[in-house]
Amino acid sequence: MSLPRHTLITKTIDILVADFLQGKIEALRLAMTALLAGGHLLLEDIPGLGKTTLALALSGALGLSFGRVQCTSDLLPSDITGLSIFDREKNAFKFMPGPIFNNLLLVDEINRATPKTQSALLEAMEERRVTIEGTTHNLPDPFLVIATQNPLEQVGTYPLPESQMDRFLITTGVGYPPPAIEKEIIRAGSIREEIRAMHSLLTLDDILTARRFIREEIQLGDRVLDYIHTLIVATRDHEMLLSGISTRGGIAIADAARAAAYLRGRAYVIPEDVREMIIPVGAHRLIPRAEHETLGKREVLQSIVAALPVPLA
Amino acid sequence: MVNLRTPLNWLHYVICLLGVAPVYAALALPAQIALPLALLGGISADRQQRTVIPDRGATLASLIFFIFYGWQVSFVNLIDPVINILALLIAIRLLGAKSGRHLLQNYTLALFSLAASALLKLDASFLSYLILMVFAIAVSLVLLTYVEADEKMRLSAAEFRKIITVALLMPGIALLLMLAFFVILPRTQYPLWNFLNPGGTSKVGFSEEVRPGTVSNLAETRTPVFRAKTMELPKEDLYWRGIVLSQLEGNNWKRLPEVPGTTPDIRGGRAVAVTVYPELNDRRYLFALDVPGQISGIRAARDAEGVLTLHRTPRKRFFYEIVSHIGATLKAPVRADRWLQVPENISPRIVNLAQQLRAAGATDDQRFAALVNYFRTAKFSYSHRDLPRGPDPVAEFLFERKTGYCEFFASSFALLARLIDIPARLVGGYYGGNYNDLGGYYLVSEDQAHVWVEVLLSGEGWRRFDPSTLAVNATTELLAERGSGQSLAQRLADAADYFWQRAVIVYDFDRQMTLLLATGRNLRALRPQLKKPATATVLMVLGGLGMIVVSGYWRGTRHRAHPLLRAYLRSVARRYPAAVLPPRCGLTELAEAVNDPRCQRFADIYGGAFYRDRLLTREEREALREIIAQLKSAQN
Repeated sequence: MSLPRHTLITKTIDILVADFLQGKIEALRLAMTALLAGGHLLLEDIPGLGKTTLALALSGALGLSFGRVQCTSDLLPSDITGLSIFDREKNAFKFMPGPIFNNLLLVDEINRATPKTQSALLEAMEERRVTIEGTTHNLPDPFLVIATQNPLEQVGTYPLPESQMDRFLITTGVGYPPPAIEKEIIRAGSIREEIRAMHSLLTLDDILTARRFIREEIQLGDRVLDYIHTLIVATRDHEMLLSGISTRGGIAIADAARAAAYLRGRAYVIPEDVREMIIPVGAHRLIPRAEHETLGKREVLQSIVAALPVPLA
Repeated sequence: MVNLRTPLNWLHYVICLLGVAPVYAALALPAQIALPLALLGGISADRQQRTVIPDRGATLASLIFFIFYGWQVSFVNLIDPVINILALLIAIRLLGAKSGRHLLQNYTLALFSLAASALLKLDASFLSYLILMVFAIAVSLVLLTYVEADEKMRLSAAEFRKIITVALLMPGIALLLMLAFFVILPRTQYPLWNFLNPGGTSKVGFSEEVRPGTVSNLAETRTPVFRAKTMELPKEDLYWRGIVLSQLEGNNWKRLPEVPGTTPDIRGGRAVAVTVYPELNDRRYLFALDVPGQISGIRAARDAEGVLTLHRTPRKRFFYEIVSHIGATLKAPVRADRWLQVPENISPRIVNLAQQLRAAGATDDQRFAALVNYFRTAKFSYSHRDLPRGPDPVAEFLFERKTGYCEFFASSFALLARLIDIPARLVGGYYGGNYNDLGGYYLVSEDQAHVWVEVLLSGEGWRRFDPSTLAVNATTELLAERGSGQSLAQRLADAADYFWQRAVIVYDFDRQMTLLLATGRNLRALRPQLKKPATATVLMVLGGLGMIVVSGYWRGTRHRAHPLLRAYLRSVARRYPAAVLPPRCGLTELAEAVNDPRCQRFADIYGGAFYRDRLLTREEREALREIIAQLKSAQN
């Protein structure tokens, strides 16, 4: 079975990994999955591992408009959404759109923004439109936010509350590149300039076509559906967790699994797609009990997945 | 070889018989004649493989019977027409065609007929009929499925035995379940069995009046009156006291309606606990061993004479527990004149005799001894035949025939006692009883009805005296029939009936709750016996292991894989022993882990069908088999 634009998209991933993002295949695949499933991506890792490079390369390759916000504690909501300024010549207010009016928005160090700014951003992510001074402006489609946050930085940060973490479809780290690749990266130095010079590999239409296909044609069978449901119910019953994956989380898992199946070249979802996606999609939605605060959510979720049998018959 | 039609036919006859037998006695004469004829006709017709009545005729006859008896059905006359219709329909079916459908119809009719018999009489025999019928029908249904598939089917004896064994297993298990459900299913306050079974009011030997010589109102029947659970007692203590008759009018002893005082004053005696299970009848008197004390289990009034009466006629079966004081005396609460009353025109011969006895002494005891002595020496004999019948039967008994039964002895003795100034009264009840050692109870039947006397001697209280024992043939006639031993079969049958009554008929919500609470108490009582934490731990561990085994089995059944998948996993396990197998991982994950394109192909084909909610096609199954074969051959 041939999937529309599938070859093109996988090839793009291959080229990006080969030329610009050595050792970041997992993060790149997840970013692509989020884009195809119509969700947003949160990259959690220490600075300097190439989170920004990843976002830049993605935007460059996809031929999407790109905006970037560097968060600080004095960043205002209007710095992201835009504002109206008075045009003296025309004697009227003129709306100056902010960086949010791009297909791909990179929000660097989102947890350094104040809660008010964060919520302005998160509202836009959920509604896909912003209302400024009484006028509603639709955001472009596709609209993908890639946010980064530095977990180690404690001073002057405003961590995202769980309810807002929920707005991100996928959370993942970038991780250190393998030694050989890292040495090569160090030798070659920063590749930002080359990324800026790269020409796009995919058009807007390619992405929209693939997204429509994933949403409408990728089949999610009853058994896989049962499997997803069993998994999310198991997170709710887990003794170390205060609350498990919500129904919205379940929808997110199904959407991401569809996109993962597409990326694997299949027109139907298999349990492996779910198993692949449940950690990046589900882990950040879990709320552990106070006494297990230090426990890794990923590990808990991993143990739940490992304990439940895969549907086979 | 066994032709299945033959055993099927015989089962059919047996089922019809089981359905009709319990109601046969109650059927109208036409049905009583028609049934055996139809059975014989049916058997001979089946042998010749023909039918006596064609289908149309059978339908017509059925309709006619239905209308005829249906016309008679009314609210008061319900059972008789119904059982007659059922019996006649069965008879028609016996003579008619015998396809599977017809047999099923007749089984249903037989079941209904048996059910209807419960409305006539519900004793332990109903259960045996029901069990036999359930077994017969279950086996018959199994045979029927074979015969329906092939009318001429023949099986070897071994095969036939196998089928019968399996067929018998089902009702066997069902009956065990039925037993369990009977105990635990919630009951109504009012036992349903009682509703269906109002209980016949049989002819009774006991009456509320004693009038010697009028009619021989003795019931010769052995109809049970009650069963009394207690220890085995000497025969002379088996006086089941019921009613006290104090008023003599002519020849007629009656009960004085009101006796002053409320509770009897019992002195001395040996206390014996008795539980009485009366058969249902329309009497309001309760019976108990002489002298009855405290009663519990039912609301009953007890007057100063120790007579127990129910407030109203019982509508359902019941039982009561009573403490009797054997050998005790009852204090008289009022003046003795009350029990010295005699009618005005007494035969001069009797007055004469009384005067002679009165001369025997000044004290009560002396005169009483003279009276007893007179009865002992006069050579009275105890008999149910040649009874005095004249206008003055008491005088006739005393001076001419000298033959009578308990009523004559008691009436004449009490009359003479009163004439010599000894207060006396008659007591009615039962004497004797057949001890059933299987059930540990006395069975008292109507033919053991008895009347005796109580006398009040010098203020010591009422003392029981049975003049019938003074008959010359008392040991042979009177005592012989009171508790003449029953045969083992009779005792067995009666014990079965007794337990049926106790376990089934009177089993209602109250008894269920009692049983439940008793079980709870017993379990609690059991707990301290458990040897401290060690035993509890062992029990918990065992329970836990049991649950693990069960849940593992459940999981195993839940993931019972497709045969092809199982074969595939076996071959993969042999080829790649280190691999983690499903259901711990997915098929594609497995293929990637072992890095085998054949495994990937299997995962694609199998998953492509399975995760898209469709069955494997023939080609896909072939392809999967091929992959499995390749995996197997590669390992060799």
